[in-house]
Amino acid sequence: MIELRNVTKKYGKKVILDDVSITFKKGKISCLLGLNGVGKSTTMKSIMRLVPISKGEILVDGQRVSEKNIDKIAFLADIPTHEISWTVEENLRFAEIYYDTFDFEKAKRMVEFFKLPKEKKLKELSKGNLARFTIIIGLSQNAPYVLMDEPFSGLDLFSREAFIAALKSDFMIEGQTIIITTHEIDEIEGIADDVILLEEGKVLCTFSKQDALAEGLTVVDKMRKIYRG
Amino acid sequence: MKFLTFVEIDLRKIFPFLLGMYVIAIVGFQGIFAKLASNINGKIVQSAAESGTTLDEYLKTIDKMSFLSIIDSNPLPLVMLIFVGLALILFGFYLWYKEWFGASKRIYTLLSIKGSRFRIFTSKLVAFLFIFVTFYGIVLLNLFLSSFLVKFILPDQIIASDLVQNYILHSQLLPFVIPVSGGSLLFNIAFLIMMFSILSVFVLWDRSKRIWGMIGGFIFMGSTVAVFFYLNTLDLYTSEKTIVNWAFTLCVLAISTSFSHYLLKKKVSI
Amino acid sequence: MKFTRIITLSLISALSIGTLIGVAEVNKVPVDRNFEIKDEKGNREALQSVAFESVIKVDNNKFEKVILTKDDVEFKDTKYDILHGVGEKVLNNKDMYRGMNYASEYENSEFTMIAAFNTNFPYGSNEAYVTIAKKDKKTNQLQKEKITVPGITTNMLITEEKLFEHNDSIYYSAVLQSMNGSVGPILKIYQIQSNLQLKDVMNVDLSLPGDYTDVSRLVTDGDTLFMILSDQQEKKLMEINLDTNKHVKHDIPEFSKDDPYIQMFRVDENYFYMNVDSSMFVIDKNTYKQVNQKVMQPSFISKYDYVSPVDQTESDETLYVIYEGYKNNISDMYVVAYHAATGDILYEGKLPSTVNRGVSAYKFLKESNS
Repeated sequence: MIELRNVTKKYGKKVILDDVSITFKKGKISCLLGLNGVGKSTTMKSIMRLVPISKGEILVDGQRVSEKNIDKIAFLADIPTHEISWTVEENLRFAEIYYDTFDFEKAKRMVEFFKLPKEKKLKELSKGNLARFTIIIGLSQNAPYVLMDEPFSGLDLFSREAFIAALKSDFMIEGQTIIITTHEIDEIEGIADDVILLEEGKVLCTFSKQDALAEGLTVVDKMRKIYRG
Repeated sequence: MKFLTFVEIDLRKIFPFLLGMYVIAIVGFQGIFAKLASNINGKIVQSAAESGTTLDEYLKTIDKMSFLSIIDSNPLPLVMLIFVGLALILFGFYLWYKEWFGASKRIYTLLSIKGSRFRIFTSKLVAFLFIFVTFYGIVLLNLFLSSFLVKFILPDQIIASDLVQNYILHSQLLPFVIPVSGGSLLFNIAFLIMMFSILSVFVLWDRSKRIWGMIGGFIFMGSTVAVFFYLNTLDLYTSEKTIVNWAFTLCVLAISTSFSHYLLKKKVSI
Repeated sequence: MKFTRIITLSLISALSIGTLIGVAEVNKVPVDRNFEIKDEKGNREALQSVAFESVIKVDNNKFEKVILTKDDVEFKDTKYDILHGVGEKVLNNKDMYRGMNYASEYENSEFTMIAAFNTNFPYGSNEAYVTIAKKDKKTNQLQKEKITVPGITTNMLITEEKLFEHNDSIYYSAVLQSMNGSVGPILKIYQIQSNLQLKDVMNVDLSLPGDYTDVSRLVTDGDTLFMILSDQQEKKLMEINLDTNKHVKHDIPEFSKDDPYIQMFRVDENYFYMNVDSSMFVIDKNTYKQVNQKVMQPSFISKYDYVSPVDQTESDETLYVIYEGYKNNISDMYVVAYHAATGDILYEGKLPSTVNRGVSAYKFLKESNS
């Protein structure tokens, strides 16, 4: 599991994460929700050590996240992070070198599954196809933890469906943990096991799908209830 | 393998620009050199006419021309190469900043890959050294090309032998452009590593603390440049200057490399 | 990364470094040690009593002194600093010469003394000081002081400095010229005390009636200090008696109206020698009349854009001048021997080229240089 213990992140005097403690359970799909600017992306980037935290600690399987165990986590950013002037295939070749556990055959199968034009350069891909490429790179790393930052952002309906289908497909590995940040709460109904609501840099509340069901509510309804007080 | 891949990607990015710079360096140098040699040839022909003898007879009375008498007495071709060399330093900034800016934020990927982050620094350093080592090659290539070109411009009998080798040994200007001995090559490489480390401190500090980091980086860069210039205004003889420059380079190299290491590991932010 | 790429990149790097090292270190051409004076005119035997010296670079940071005579050449390992253009004497006494490589010198059996006015004055520094250094030859003890020179303002330039000995005291003299020409050249003479402080002993106005007075270098002869003053109208020989503090301006021939600048000025027991442009003149010390019956000028002047004297010496009524001629990016050096009384050229020879081997120009070998 991934644990954030009393994590604080400040940019100058501005507090983005304020003494946040969260536990992302192993094998579950956790959704980190909140309005824009509440610290969802910062949480993800802090886990990946892409932004240094001001206080607290972040553990993966009980150990601090470091250069040595960062490969346990795959990160799908909400922007292109690979060589957009190279083709899909070239990028996959380089990913095979970058990530020790990268499964190139799996990546090829996913390219076929998503019908991604592998000879095209990334900059020539549509937004939907670029999102698919990002998922392929992320899931082919076979990392036990996958962080997805705003994966639905800018995607059309069909792309969203394809994305959700991927999360339920056999492209996932056994016991894989997924953490998704989004501000579009309708999208997570079918996939979320756990929900963490952030507000102004603090954890507003945490609940599981079972908690919602016990109250006779859907995950989305439960959130609406919390937000409306 | 990851390291070599980092280097390869950096080189692939800069290659078109580098090629452009080298073409400018070759065409510019040869053009200016040809002009200088042609001017000298014109003056020789004029002098021969004024002397009232045949050109052959006149040529027997004058000393042979070497690159020292063509390039060192009018260093425009070398000045042009110095400007190209200075422009190449900017590639160091490009190698870093391109990861943060542009359509793709590759820094996300670089910082998330398992293994020491410091190899991002070392891979870019290798690319930076590659830029300059090939630049030195281009300067030498220019000299070799000029040694052929001069035969088409000046009469054979007044061209000295071993133009390039003698120029490397005797020119007082060429050492400002390329290292001309094994010792100076070593120093040059250390100096380039130091330069890259200094500009890395600037970039990484800026990328860690933004505006305050940039100010800190400016102060750091400015103070190293100021100390370097101060040391070179001291009344030191060449042997002493060599020791002082080595000491300065190694000290600044150690400080700036350690600081870059710290920033990259602990402070840098996307 | 594909192996072909790795190999290509490695190959380019290896080739570049290899070429650098290869060209700089391995493929070095041997230094041409063929040094011979080429006869141009007259009898070579006229060079019997002179020798020439120069420094050549034989490898990176390796230099040799070339001692050239009419029949022979000799090479000796030497020290040389290309950056400052200084040789063994300076490099063996770095503590004394530091910051003042081209200082005025005085040397006797007990000590060497050098002095140089603040070289940044007045543009880079407004401090009017002279650095004086004295090194004891037996103990190697060094005294080095910056001494403020009184009476110098920032609109003045120092155009000439000299150290000389008189009645067991050492004197520092400087010629000052105001930048706007409002004050003519002034000679200031200071006695150097044992603690190297200066004591003002004499101020002499050197100006001639013309707009601008040029002052040659100062020479001493016994108790007398000499220099040539020249402007567009005339030239005068200034004589200053150091015992009586009296000074007289003697009339001397005009020589060249076009060029008032005296490039060289020397004195021996009988004559004054001066070079104006490429011409040389000998003046009798007693009559102040020109000795040479015709102007002493080398025959190769027309071959060059500029010809200027580099060094001069004399021996047995023969004057020797080293000239440098410059044209079309080529500079050549010559030696010319003149008969002092008649001005006839006894010999002209072209000194061996230093292109691709030399780092310093030829000069006459003197005992103190060898």
